[in-house]
Amino acid sequence: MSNHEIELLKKEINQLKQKVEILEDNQDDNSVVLILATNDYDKAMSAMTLATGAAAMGMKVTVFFTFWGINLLKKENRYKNKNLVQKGMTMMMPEKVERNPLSKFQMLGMGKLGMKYLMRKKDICTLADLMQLSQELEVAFFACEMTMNLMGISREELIENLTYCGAAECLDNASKASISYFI
Amino acid sequence: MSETYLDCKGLNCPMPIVEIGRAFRGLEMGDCLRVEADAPAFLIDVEAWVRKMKQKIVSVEKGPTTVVIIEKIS
Repeated sequence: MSNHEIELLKKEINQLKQKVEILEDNQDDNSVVLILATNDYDKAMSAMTLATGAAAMGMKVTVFFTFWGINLLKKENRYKNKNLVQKGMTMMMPEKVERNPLSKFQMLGMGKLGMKYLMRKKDICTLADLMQLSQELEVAFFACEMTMNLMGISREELIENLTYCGAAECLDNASKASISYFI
Repeated sequence: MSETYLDCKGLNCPMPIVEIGRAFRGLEMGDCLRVEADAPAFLIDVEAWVRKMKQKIVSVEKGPTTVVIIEKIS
């Protein structure tokens, strides 16, 4: 083989190496992205069960909270710097994670009471427990800035250790992940 | 080559695998973890966890509770 040919091969190998690096960077088969757009207690519970489970299996987990899902990150309701509609919305939304309604059989809170009774009896983790546990397991919580802006929610109203982001960051994460769910 | 016991009786999904994951962090290569649980999907979940985390199931004992011994191999 002549020197020229060796040089060409070297060049080709380098190009391939670069391509592999880009592919590796884009493909992360060990991560999960959950997009949580609802504050329904049952739906959030299944999302957080999956999140903690995946984290326990050594996967990198990101949960994007958007629209009503933001309400699950609420620390306390605040009314300062909000207009009338936003104030009304804040008043109607539960402050505590555990107070969020079921998507089915809510029945003005009666169904929820029944569900909580069953959960206690069967020793099933509550949503608040799962949220805390997932933060301990280093599940990343992302909050949608647009929703916060829309509903007038300030960062002080939400729990700590959140990343604030928009659609691009969410999509960038989801495109690299091997699993992504919209809940 | 020690064996640690982990009691997951009464715990429901996803707690057994969360606890196993936590316990495994403290183990050395070759150590075993003896897990006892009674959640209905426990065995199938442990098998999946072991596949994903590239560990090894040494033995499975089914009775009123399920006892699984997992060895840390990676």
